Amino acid sequence: MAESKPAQKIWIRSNDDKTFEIDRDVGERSVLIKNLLEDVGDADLSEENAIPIQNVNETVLRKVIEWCEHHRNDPPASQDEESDARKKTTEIEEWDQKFMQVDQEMLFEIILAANYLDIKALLDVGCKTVANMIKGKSPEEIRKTFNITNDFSPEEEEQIRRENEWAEDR
Amino acid sequence: MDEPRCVLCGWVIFRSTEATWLREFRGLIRQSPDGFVCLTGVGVHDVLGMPCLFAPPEPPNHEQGGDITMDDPDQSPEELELMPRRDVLMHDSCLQLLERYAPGICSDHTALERLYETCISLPYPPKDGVPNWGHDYGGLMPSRNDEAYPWEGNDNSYSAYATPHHAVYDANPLGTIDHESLLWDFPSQPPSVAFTAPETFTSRDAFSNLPLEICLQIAANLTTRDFLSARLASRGFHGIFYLRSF
Repeated sequence: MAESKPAQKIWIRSNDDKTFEIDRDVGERSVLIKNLLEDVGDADLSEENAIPIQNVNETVLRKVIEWCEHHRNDPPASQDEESDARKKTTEIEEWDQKFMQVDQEMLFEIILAANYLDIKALLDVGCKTVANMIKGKSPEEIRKTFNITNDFSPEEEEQIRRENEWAEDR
Repeated sequence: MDEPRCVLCGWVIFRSTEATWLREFRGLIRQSPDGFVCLTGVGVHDVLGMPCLFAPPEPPNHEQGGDITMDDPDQSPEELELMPRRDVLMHDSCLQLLERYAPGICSDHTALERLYETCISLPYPPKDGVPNWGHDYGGLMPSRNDEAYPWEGNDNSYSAYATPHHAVYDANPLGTIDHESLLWDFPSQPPSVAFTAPETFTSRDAFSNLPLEICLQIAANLTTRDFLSARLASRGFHGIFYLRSF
């Protein structure tokens, strides 16, 4: 039986100076990291020379790495598949649903990190999760769910209602 | 034959026996393929039934074109023949107005050449003598569908022929408009509308802190009804409504 080759390691550092050692294929779920690795070159990879992830803190980066490790073997989705999937369904696989059961602040942090790191599949899961939290709710219920203060003036609200009525008639 | 039109204002160079600026015209003409472009003197459109217009050569003492001469001075008799589709015709008043605010535009052969080339490069319909900018000069210029090029299709939005004599259209532009205020008045800001989608958000709800493309992606996962509820709930979804990509 052939021995599997040990995975190549890379190092990434959060904006609060926590360095993570991860397998390269896990890191390459992020297009940003993948491109950076190509630019840096293998010779310059080291723990001391970790790739800085400037917009993401340790807690969020740990969650993102957890997601990337679980999905490390997923086939890369084509552009068409991504856009089709987005249009057709907001279904989320069970593991991802559990992964996204975090407080709202963390949920939005994950979405922002996925956007920054260019991890489309994670961004898609995050957006679907938020969309599912909005579905079927009235504006007041949405505000309550996301702790939004209504700061529309009565005139603004009236105009939005008029525009919405127009849009519903389309 | 259609009435010839002024390339500058779009209005007709009227045939009339009465003294009016509307019948006084000048032309930019190239007398031979290799010849200079020259500006004629002021012609008067008062001849019945003629397919061409006639104008005298530019007088040598013209204040801005004194050095301009015809290719062949011996060519006189005085009148030059002008063809609406071949030469560039303008009301004398319109040209004077142009020279007043663009000094030197007719000052020498080079300037005339430039003006002539500019005019003939404009989009002309097959028959009319004025450029077609896709509008009707505020009612001055008719557009008839049978005069469109085949690839242009029909445009029924144009008016029929404008009323032949209209008080505004017939007013001499040299004497009736306060050009100074029109040309030197600095543009002012348009009046603000009652409410427009805000550029910046004052609220600190989660959606307002997300980049627009992420809000757009969330919105793409919602039904129309859910999205409309969301835009009533948060400013983060408000602007998406106006995006072409939504």
